[in-house]
Amino acid sequence: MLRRLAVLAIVWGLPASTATVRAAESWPQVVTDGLGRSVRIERKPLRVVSMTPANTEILFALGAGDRVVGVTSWCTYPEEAKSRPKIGGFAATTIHLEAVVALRPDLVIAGDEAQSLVAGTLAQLGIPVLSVKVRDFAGLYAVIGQVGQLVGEREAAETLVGSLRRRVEVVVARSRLIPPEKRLRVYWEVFDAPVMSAGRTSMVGQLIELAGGINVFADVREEYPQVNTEAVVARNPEVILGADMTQGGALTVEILRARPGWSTIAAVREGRIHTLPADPTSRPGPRLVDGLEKVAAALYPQTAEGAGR
Amino acid sequence: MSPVLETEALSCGYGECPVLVDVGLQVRAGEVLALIGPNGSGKTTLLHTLDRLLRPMQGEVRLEGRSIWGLAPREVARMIALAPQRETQTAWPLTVEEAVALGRAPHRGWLLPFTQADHGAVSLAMARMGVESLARRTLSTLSGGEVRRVLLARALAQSPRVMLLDEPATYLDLHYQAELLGLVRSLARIDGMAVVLTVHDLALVAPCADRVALLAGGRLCAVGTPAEVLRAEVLIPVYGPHLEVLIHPGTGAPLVLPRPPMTG
Amino acid sequence: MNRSREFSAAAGTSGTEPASGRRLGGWSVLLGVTLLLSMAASLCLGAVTLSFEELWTALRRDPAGEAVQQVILWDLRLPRTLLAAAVGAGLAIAGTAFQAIFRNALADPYVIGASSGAALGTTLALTLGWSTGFAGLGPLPPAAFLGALAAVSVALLLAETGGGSSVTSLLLAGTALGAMLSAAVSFLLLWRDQPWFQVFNWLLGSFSGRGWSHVAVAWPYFAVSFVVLWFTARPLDALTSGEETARSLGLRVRAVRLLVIGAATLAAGVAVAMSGIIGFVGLIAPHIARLLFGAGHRRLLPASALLGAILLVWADIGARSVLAPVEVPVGIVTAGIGGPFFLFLLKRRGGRLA
Repeated sequence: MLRRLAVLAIVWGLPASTATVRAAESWPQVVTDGLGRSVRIERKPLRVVSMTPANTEILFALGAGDRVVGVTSWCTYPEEAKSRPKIGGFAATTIHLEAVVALRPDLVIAGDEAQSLVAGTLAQLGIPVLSVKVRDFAGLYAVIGQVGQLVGEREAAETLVGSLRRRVEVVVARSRLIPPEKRLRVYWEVFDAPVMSAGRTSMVGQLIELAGGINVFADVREEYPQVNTEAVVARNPEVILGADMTQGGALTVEILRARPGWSTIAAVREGRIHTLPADPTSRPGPRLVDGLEKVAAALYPQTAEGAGR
Repeated sequence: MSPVLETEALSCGYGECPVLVDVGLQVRAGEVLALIGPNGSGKTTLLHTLDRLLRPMQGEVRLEGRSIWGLAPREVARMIALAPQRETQTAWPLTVEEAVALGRAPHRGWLLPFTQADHGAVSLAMARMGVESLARRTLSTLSGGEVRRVLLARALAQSPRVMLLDEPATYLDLHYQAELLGLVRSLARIDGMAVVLTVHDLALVAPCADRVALLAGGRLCAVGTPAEVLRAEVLIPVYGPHLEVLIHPGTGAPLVLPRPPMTG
Repeated sequence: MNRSREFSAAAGTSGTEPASGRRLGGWSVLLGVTLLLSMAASLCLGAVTLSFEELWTALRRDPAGEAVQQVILWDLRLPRTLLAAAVGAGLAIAGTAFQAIFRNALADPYVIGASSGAALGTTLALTLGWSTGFAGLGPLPPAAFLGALAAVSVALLLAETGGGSSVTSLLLAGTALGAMLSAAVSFLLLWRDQPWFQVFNWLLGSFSGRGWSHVAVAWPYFAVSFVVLWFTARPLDALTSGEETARSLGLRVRAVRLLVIGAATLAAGVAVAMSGIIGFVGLIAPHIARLLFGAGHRRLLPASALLGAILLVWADIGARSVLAPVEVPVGIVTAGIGGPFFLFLLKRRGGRLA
């Protein structure tokens, strides 16, 4: 019962305490961003620069894609985003401040603390910067709302959040139908050397729990802990999931079986190993819900099929 | 008797300029040759050149008629031993016994374990230098004089035919200085070695040396018996006027003493 | 001998009986037994704790025991423990050799560029996406190994052309090269926007996921290195007394130096290839061994190797157990031991390093 309440709370989202909102769709707009800074926009921004791939996706999903004038080299979705001018890579050290400034943006949407140095400098230059920090679905909805508010697409934002919420509810409802003893132990491998998994505070860890799986490393608070291979073997996951990244070793049965000790793991024995597209399962953007659906489908295909998806 | 060790027209030094030029010396078995000269005259350089540590710039060093640079280093080490003035120690030096035992390496090699004969030679060398009671002490805990004696013991353990000693009397107490002089003589007379030692304190020359070589100004100024070389007219051009040569009343050997300038 | 007593008191040794006087015999047995016990502990401890009985059952592959325990023991812990012991011994013996060659208490196996070269090799392999491995180990171990050897060779060459073959010029060349290679590594990582944690984790050293194939590849190199270095024991004694002394005793100093550096780098290179850069073991183990056994290399080399093995096995236990199931890179654990150890040395010996 408590579990159900907790799930519902996550799904509907407690009001994001980081957002203070002015009532009307009027300018100027002021919000408090994810790093606690106050961001003020005087008029509707026409030139927006995005410093993370997730933010780029949010902007395009809100219909503000034509106003996006600068993206990172990792912004690969949607297709149109790839052709926008590049401001650098993802890490703070590879973003070219001059490139950002040269694009004369009215608004910059940045990532979390990792980019705070760049964001701070831009803010000092008088450019409004919204720093975004998503830790869970509630945070995602709040951020979509904030971005929508600042670019003048509040309605689109509300619609988008609504549809995302419904899709998540569907997944959660289905996962509730699975009896506790049938819930699968899941191991998500972020990386193979060193062996890295997802703890309970990571987005992926939350996806697994929402989809009705049991993350074998849910007892670890750290987002992406390096774990001992013995622990993986001892915890004997029934399903192994991973992202289909081009870097890092691919997750195939042959490769996993070749690792010392892994051939005895239930998931390896039964061949229940799935790779899922990397971006929807990691980027804190609208496609995160796609990721959730894919995780659910990988874990409990019968449930997904039974519901006629 | 042919010399065990000889040099011919030897020029040696470091870098570009030679320290010594055109040195011709001979040492025979059973003979003690003392090298004297002011600081910087090249005594140590000459010893290093004799020990195959420094390549001659010109001329040749011959050991029993063969040029030492035509021989393998180990072969030379079996026949020539050098007890240096000092060794810079690492912070973790060996024990006395280990240090002296290194002297057996040229004979026994670097790989094989030591035989009873080797151990015997090591013990004998330590006993002769009076350091056997210090056998298990590390070198860093010894006084300067004790270290000198250990270095001498190592050279002894090498069982060489030629013994090169670089200022062996420095840091030694009077008692040990006297013992050293006796040791040098017995090495030559009893063991039959050819001994070359550099001496700074001229008073020590006569009691032990059969022949003396005076180095100064980059050349070999004089060579001969102590009586021939330790004379005022030979020494004053090299050392300056403030010395006097006396004859020891008992032995008749020449004694060189500093004579302070007259004051007042 | 009164003066001698004052000397030893001033130097901080305990009494007149020096440490080096103790016979090796009893102590080597003690060290050996300690190593075996440490390895047994390593097999018992970790994310899953085994009791001694369970360990014994699993070792014998008794069908009555738990299958998971047997898998963990035979496929994961046993090779890992053996590798940790071998790497610890290899680093220790390489460190001992380098400290003798350079007559410097702060020399470690990486002092002339082995670690920087290995780091560059690994980073190149990751950045350029090399995939050819060696004996089923993936591309990183051979890249690290070759990088280490290449760097040391370059340092040797630089020293030769630079200022003769003195050890000082070798140290300088190695330091300069190390700095340049580290800069190259940083540049590569930034240029390609690589995941830092991958290289970072490797730089800190880890035994995670190492198995029998690692042990199988590594042990011949270690064996060769140990044997060669064992035979250089007496020359190393001569070298610590000074280069002139060594030459005066007939040692071909240049040749021996090259041989020792080669053998030591072989051990260090393989160690780095198998487990990344693990610091402090190669620095501390020789010091402890000297404290216990004195400076004569016939005793020092094997003692150092055993101590290094014990040290690293325990560091690996710590790496696996402290934050289980999270694994800490073992290099962090060795650094944690190393710092306080040096402080202890400083206090005890009054500034003189062992």
